[in-house]
Amino acid sequence: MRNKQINIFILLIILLFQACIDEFQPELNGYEQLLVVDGGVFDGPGQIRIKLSYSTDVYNPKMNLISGAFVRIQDNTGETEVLNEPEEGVYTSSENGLIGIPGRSYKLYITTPNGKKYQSDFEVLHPRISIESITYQTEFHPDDRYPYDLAGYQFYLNTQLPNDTNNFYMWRMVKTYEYHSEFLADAYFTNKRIYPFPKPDSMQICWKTENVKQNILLNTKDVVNPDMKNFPLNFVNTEGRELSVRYSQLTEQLTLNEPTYKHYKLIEDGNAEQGSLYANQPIQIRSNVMNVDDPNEPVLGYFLVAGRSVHRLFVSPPDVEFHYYAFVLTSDDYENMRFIRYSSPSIWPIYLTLGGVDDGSLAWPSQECIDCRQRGGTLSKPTFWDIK
Amino acid sequence: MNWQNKKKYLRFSLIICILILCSIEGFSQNNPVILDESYDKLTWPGFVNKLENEFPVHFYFVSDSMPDIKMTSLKYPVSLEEMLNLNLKKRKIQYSIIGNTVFVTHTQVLANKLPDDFFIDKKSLIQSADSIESKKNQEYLATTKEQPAQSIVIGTKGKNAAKKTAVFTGRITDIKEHKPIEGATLYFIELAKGTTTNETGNFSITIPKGKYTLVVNSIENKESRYELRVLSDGFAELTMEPEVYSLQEVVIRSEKEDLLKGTNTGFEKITAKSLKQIPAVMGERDVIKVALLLPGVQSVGEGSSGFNVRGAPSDQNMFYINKVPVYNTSHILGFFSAFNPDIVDDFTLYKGSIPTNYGGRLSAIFNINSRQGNMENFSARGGISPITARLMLETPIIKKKLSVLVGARSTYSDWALKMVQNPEIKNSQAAFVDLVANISYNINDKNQMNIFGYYSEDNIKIVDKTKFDYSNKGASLSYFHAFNKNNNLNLSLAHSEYSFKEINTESPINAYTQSYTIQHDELNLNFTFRPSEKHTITAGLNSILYGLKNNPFLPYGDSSLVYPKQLENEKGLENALYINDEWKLLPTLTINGGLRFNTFTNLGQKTVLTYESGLPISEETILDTLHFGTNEPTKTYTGLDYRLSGTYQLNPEMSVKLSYNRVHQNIFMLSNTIALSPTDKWKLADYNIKPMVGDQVSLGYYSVFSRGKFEATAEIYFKNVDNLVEFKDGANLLVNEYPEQELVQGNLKAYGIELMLKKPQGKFNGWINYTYARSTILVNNEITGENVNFGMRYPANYDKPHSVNFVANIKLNKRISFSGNIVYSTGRPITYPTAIYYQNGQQFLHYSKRNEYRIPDYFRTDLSFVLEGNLRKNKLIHGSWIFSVYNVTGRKNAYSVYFETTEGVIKSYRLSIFGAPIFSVTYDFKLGNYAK
Repeated sequence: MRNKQINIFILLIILLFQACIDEFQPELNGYEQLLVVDGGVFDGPGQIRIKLSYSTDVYNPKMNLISGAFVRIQDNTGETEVLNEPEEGVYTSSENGLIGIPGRSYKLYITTPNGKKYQSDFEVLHPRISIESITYQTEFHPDDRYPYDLAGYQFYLNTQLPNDTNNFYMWRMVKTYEYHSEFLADAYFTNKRIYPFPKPDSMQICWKTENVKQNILLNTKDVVNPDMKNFPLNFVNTEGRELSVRYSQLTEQLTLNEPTYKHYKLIEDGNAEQGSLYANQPIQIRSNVMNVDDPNEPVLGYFLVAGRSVHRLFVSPPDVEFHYYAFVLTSDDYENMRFIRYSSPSIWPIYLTLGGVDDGSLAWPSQECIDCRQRGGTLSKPTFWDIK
Repeated sequence: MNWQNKKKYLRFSLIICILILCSIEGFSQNNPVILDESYDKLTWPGFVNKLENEFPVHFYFVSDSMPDIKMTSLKYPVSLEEMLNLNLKKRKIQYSIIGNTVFVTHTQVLANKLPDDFFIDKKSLIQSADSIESKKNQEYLATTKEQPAQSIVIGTKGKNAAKKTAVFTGRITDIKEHKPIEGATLYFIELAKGTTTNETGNFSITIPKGKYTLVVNSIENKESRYELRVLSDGFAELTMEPEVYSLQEVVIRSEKEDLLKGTNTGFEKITAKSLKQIPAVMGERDVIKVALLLPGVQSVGEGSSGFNVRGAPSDQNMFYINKVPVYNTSHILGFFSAFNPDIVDDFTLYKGSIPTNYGGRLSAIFNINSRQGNMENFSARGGISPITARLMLETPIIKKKLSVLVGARSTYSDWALKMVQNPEIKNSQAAFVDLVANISYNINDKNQMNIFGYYSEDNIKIVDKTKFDYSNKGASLSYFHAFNKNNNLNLSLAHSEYSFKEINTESPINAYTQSYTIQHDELNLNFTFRPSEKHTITAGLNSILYGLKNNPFLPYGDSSLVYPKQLENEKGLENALYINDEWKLLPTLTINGGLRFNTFTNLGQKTVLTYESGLPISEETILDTLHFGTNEPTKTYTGLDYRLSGTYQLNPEMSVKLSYNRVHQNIFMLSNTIALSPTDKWKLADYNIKPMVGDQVSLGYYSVFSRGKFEATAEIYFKNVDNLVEFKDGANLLVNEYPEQELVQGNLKAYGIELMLKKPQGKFNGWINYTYARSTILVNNEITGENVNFGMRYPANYDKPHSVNFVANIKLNKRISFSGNIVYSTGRPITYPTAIYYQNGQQFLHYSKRNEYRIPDYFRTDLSFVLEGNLRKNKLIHGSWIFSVYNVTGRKNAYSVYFETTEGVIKSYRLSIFGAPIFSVTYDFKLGNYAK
């Protein structure tokens, strides 16, 4: 490797350098069964609606509703109403009961079935600002998880915000979309026999409603021009079935008071991604509702008091290629029929299809491409669906 | 350095020989030394130490060769000679008493005259600046290559003829590298008098004119001897040859740095020599990684820069390299240190007592000295590892007067990153370079100058989303002047600049670019006076001008909706005047006390908001807006620092020390991340943010036992820091023009105990230490109601109660050595999500109280193996291979544990930076043979 002269050194290198991420479950305890407040008072028509639940274990998340609580709302003029519980864990005001009036403040009182008393601060209700319009256009957005740019609709908001002082806004979006399953239900198998299905298309059309998992917050201090033109809201891509038939989006524009804005801002920042090398310090965020006797007991969620205006938009599919997997029948699906009699009764009825070919041979494909409910939707058409 | 109180262990390679020139009548006849019962049953080192402390007696002996003996006598009082006869003769140990000096030899009878061949193996070069015989000496040198001259003449005949005494000044340096030798001892046998060299290798002594035998010793070097003729005041440069075949690990300690006698608590010094035996990560021996093996020093996290000393945040540490402050001490966000290992000579860490001439940082001062450049020959060294290559060159420009050193280090590819499986690292780029240059100039015997320059740069790209560029630039000029042997002056000027630029495109809508620069200009003027043997007074002035330049915060790219912002620049002037006295009250008791008066002025141009007092600082409580012009003071803070420490030597092998410090700090790093992030920003104390004040009390017990083979220390400390700067929950500093609105000031309390057992020498050397330490923070302003963590005290991010470090080096022979270390510490605190809840149909995580949980404990074992090239004396290049394994057990130490929600299912993950053993091979080379 080296002689008496100055030589060039040859380097042998063995290098294994490995950073890694693996699953790891730390032991956590002591934070289940915390009161969660969800709902609030908005101006305009509609009942006041408060949903109460308990938090659950991180590893076994589920909705744990609180039934039989005493829930009362009072405003700063002294008007008050005890809410009813028309469905489990959901407490509402009566038809002609208390309503949200801008300028007034509202306070929530709760007594849980185990006798603990909670109350919120008085939360002031700011007037609503109406949405001028919501527009959309086809865009292509890069995404880490895909080797190509994702196509879809980007939604934009146009609204004129008041210019006077600092104001705080939050936008929440609810998407409802129609989607279809691939095949008709021509027959079904149950009790070891195959029967013809009376209404083959009855499980083909579904509607699904979901919250967009992204609230958008704005402090007008950060805005150059309160005349908001083309303020970007959410992006809906074509990797799923949302835009496949017809899509509707309900956009809620909430005028918040400052403490409420700060709370939601904390949630947004506190929920930031924790996996990176330089993650921010996460924080415990508590509700504006507190245990009267033990102010240190963490209460979760928020009693939201805000001015609210809503806007609904319907859109047709964009003229781009969809990437969700559309099923086609394979020989395996026909072959499966030979084993159908051995199927477990627990999965009956099994829906079968002719696959649009009228040759009398049935196929047993994956159930979600016959019964659209398997993809999370419902067969009942939303009331607003035919409005436009 | 007081020779009289200094214990000497001399390593005589063959024999201890002593010269003629004095008669063999010493104290035994003129001034007999009589010992009483208090000398009974003492061990040899204890006996020698007690004697040296109580009588003007000096012992020379080879510590390793002395058996374990208890000095006893049947009757007391007894004379020293009788005592030695009684105890040494029967063990065939010879001794001789010459003057006030006792020479103890093992087998060799002491000659009373110099053997003819005595100097044959001694090599030493003499420079006699003011010598009429120097020419003659040089001729002599030229003709007798193997037997260099051992006689020097100091001064000129006739000069200052009236005076009977002469001031002999000089400098002792290493023969090859021309590095000054600190703590070398000079002993004039006939006078029974001596002195030691200071940090710059200089010495000065007043002696009667005449002929003497001078013995020069230093632990790392071979003894050298001179026949000296002192005619008048004069200067000589003496060189020493390193102990070539010394296999032992030695750390030079001057008395100030002596474990037992120095007054500093929490003091650590590591020399380059010990650095060589630490396992390397990715083939580099990193200064900072060694520091992390010391008690009380903890890493912020693997792959992150900075460290926590004694439960304090990393911004309370200061790094200097040759007086240049370095604000970012890491490359590639912490994977490498920013200092080229080839140019590092030693580093010193002050974590307990902070010397009075340092201030402005509450927790620790980390002082790195570079090599000074070879004054004798051209020399080069370097290394190649899988990721980096480095080279250092040094050469004299004027022999013995002026030398230049340059060093460079760089990555040559970021291919290694591509091999990493973590996509975050895989799709990234990292490159760095660092350069140093040093010029040392010995103007004359009383004046020296040093010019140093430093540059480092990093370019990092993380997954095409974030791009960081950062650089350190710095330069310093230091000047040393000796007025006389007791009084000297040190002057240094330093400029340092840290620049940072970030482009963040993680979300196109929020994409931004930002950059800033922090400038640090520092002046140090330090005087040292020794008005008497007992007092060493230092006094001086320390001024720092800080300048923080913020470039505009701008949107990046067309789709970014970021609102551009121009953050104001910051400027501040920190001045300190200090005085310190080290007072040797008793031979066994030294007290060190100092005062440092600090002022800090925040300077304009600046727009300052004032807020209603008693209310939280926020937009709603703004009272007024003040405008200040350029360099107009916006606010001045004054504060008095105290330094008090003392050491009491219980017996020759044990001492106790106590220290108390108060320090003020005017600059903070604002960090809301768990690890130190490159985006963390520095901030000066200003109109609304007060300087931090820190107090620390340390109590320590120190012991050297088994004839110096082992050192044991135990230290307890307690710290309190007020005005600690913390973020309000969820704060976003990045864009805030008025950071005070995002900050709250609180209190940090830390305490701990550090235990260390060290074997500094021998073929097997190393240390083990255990630390128990706690650190908690309370932010709860009762007046304004502002708090963090609901006003409850919480563990600091760096609170790691238990830690153990074990370091072992084994030298099998001259060519093969192994070293290994084991590191354990409690996992750092973390805030975990502990519950799930739903809001408006969305799932949310609820987090525990701040730092309520801990990540799993940290454990790591590293090994390295060094194979030196052949030991031939005459060769051009010596090379060595370093094979190392970092994290041998491949333990997946958690850097972080985090939770992710995927389609309603929460999963928790552990992120490990070094999740497998890392092997690396480095080839190091240098000009010359093994020893050089």
